[in-house]
Amino acid sequence: WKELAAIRSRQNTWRQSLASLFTTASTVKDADLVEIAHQAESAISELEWGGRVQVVFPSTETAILASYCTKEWLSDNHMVHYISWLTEELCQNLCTEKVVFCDSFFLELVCRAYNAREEYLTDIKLYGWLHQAAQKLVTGENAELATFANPGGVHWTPVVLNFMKKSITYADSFAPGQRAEMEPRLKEALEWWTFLHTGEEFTYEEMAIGSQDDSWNCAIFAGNALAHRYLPVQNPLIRSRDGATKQRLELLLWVVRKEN
Amino acid sequence: MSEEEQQIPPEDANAPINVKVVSATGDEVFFKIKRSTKLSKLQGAYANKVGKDVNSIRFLYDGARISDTDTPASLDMEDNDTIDVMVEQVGGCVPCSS
Repeated sequence: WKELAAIRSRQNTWRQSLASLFTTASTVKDADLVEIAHQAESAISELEWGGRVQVVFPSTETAILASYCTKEWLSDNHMVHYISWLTEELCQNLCTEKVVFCDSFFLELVCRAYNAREEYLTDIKLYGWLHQAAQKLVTGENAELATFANPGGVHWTPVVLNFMKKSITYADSFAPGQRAEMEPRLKEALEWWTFLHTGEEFTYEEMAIGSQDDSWNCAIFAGNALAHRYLPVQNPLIRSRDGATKQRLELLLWVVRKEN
Repeated sequence: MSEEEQQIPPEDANAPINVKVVSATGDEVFFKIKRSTKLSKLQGAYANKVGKDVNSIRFLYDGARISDTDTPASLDMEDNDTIDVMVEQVGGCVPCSS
């Protein structure tokens, strides 16, 4: 019965996503979005609903893809898809920026290191990887580190560190063009980490980002801001709710096509 | 090579190692695990121990996520290494006002 209940739950998740796609396809006026919604419907019908997405590391349950079709908040697992897509986009478009995209937990781990500052300096076994990440930025092996912050555990925002320019670039889709303030605990930890490895104080710069006017698409606006930063022609800033919906479905299609 | 040296057994490649799992609040849980055992087993045991759904937490080693097929051997883990455990992150609407 437990197994049946799990199957039922997954079926319901996918039914809701299909219903949501149907609504999108039948109500929006944007012809491109309607077309993508139809493509997503057809892609989902060929998907093994109960399996796992293996093509993007680390693997995640296929069921999380259903969230792309709805207004559900996106999780760190979706951000893994976004980071993989961004990495592939930069590679395919021969972007010369030496940017490294880091997991959305990267900044949380910097905060953890900040809270154990003495250990960070002495326990190379535990924090060696973070020292290495800093070293690659100091030497220019990686020109920029791009990732996502999750302030308050409810919102996604893009963050870029550049050790050559000594800058922290940040944006918030709820305050584009308004010099959004980073979460204090994150700011403190980042300022400590960057100063420790460079001996200089970093300045804050603002990243271009679309303006979010809904309550569920911050992940898409954050990812689009990074895509726009490195490939502005291919990725114009999202300016509307339909644009964000389209991006959600494009991300879904990217994962499904890789999987198939 | 002396006779004494010859008698030392080669290091057991599958010998168990001690692994520390540390949560965001600093709580530590210790496990002894064979180097060939999938870490997904450790993840399930940790989730059970702390009473959480395994899908709602993430495990990272050296800043990278641990996948279902990873083992201590595949990640070159050593005795007394640490795994960071994080709570699932979600985001949608609330602007950062802090």
